[in-house]
Amino acid sequence: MKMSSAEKIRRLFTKSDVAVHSKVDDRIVGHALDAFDKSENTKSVSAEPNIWRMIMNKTMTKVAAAAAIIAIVVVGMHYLGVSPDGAGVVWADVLRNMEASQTVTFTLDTENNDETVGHFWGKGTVKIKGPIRRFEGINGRRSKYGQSGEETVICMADLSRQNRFVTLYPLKKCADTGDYSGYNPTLLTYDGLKKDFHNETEESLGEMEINGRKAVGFRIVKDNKEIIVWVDPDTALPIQIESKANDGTETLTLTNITFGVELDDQLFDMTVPDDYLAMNVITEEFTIPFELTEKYLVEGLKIAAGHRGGKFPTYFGRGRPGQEAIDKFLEEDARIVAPIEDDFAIMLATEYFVRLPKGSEWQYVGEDVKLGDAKKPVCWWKLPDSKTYRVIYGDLSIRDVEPGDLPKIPWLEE
Amino acid sequence: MVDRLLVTRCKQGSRDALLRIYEKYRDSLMILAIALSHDVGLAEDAVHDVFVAFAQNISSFKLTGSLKAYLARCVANRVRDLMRINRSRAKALSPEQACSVERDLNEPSLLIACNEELRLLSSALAELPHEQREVIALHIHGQMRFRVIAKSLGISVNTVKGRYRYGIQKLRSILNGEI
Repeated sequence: MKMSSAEKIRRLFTKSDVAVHSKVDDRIVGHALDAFDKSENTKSVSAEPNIWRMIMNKTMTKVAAAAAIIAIVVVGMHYLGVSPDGAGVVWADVLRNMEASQTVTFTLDTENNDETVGHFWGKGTVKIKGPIRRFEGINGRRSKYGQSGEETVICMADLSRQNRFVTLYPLKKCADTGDYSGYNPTLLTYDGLKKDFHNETEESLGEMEINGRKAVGFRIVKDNKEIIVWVDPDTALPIQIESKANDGTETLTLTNITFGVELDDQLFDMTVPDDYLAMNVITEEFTIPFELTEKYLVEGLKIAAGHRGGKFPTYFGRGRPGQEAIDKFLEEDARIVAPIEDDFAIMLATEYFVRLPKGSEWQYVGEDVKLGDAKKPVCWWKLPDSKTYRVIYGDLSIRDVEPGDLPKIPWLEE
Repeated sequence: MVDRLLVTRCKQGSRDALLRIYEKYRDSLMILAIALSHDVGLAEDAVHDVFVAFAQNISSFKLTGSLKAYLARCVANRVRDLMRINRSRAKALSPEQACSVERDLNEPSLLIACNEELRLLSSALAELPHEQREVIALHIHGQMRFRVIAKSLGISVNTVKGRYRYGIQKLRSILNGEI
């Protein structure tokens, strides 16, 4: 059969072949990769702020904020006496005496309810010296779904340094740090307290016995908040302060208030001990006192799955795209109140892939994979110089897989 | 791996995905460039330039159709540009110089060897005006439809079909004694 010219050309193209020397490949690939690496817009796990990591960090930020708020809120109590002009004689004395005291200690019992954040509480002692205040006690949290947990914390905040705070978890050897300068709305509470105490609307409640001590009461009402200060008439200093929001969202009780006590400067040292795992919850920078290896990634994945009834989360650094997946992840996250060491372990796992070099192909595909499932992949990555991928499966085993043998994930193929 | 996934990974910073795209399409694009230019040096430069540009602009690249067709179109465009710049060189080379199987592969300028079919194809296409050669190569080798070629070259579909028809007719006489 006679072949057409087009068919002849097609056949020649089909049978055409070239032998390309490796030098040609080296030149083209080398220049292409150079261009690729210099391209500022190519995304990298390590170079790009990771929205999913930020969501994961939200829990830790919440917990850190709750502890810091405790310390920061009471600052208002200490910084009351700035300008007592025009106040009643007794009240002015109270303010002046508070201002004159460089140190104060008290027992704190506070609760905070927020529809979006959850329920927080703190019980412990507060020590204030100069601009730094230290809270030592229990910090608790309960989600809107009822899960709750408590941590023993030492939280310090320095009002002279943009409300810089450090929360130490001494039983867990970890810490979070940050600052709430112009960030946390709770500072409004601090400002509000100052204004409340100086708005000349204080109302005398007369005398009353508080814990066996004679006290004079003052009541201040502003916005949706009522503050009652019980003062020792002999010293003209508060012995108890109660603050309550009318809508029940916040209560604060300071008892056993003592002014002018000797407090060691070491108590206010905000340095994180060298052997602590620390994270700045604002910048997400980690200080890790050990080598971060892939075993921490595995551990974080295991813990994350454990919190979700044995299923890996929808996201872990990356995941299925789309709003539906985001909402699902947020719903999962809202139900979890984990011990702080678990939050740290999960964040540390995310830190592992954040620190992978540019070009490492981190991919998370563990949504709904069951912990223990040896057939389904959870995540993989590949270092730039490696020919194979490291793949973690549902049973947390790690295998080296050729690129062509990577598991097929439908949404990744789309 | 499907092209869309490779491109996605490239955009996520995967050097490996870029390498795999290169490995996947290198030979096909090199054959196209040689067939169009009849010049291995120019073909190498064209493929080089296309991949470097592809790597450089991957973040803004959107794959709307076939990656192979896209790269083929880029190579065809680059070959045309380079030939325009370096026309005298392309004309100066004999078919033997353009496609040498026997030459020392360590020679920097002769690092790509063509088989017999490619040499024959390249020689035959070299007899055609570049416009006809381009349409035939893109349609047959690049598997691009006339409409797509027309759009990419900025000419009408009828013009594309005309160039193809005249090119094929001319090849008939050239190839009669060859195949």
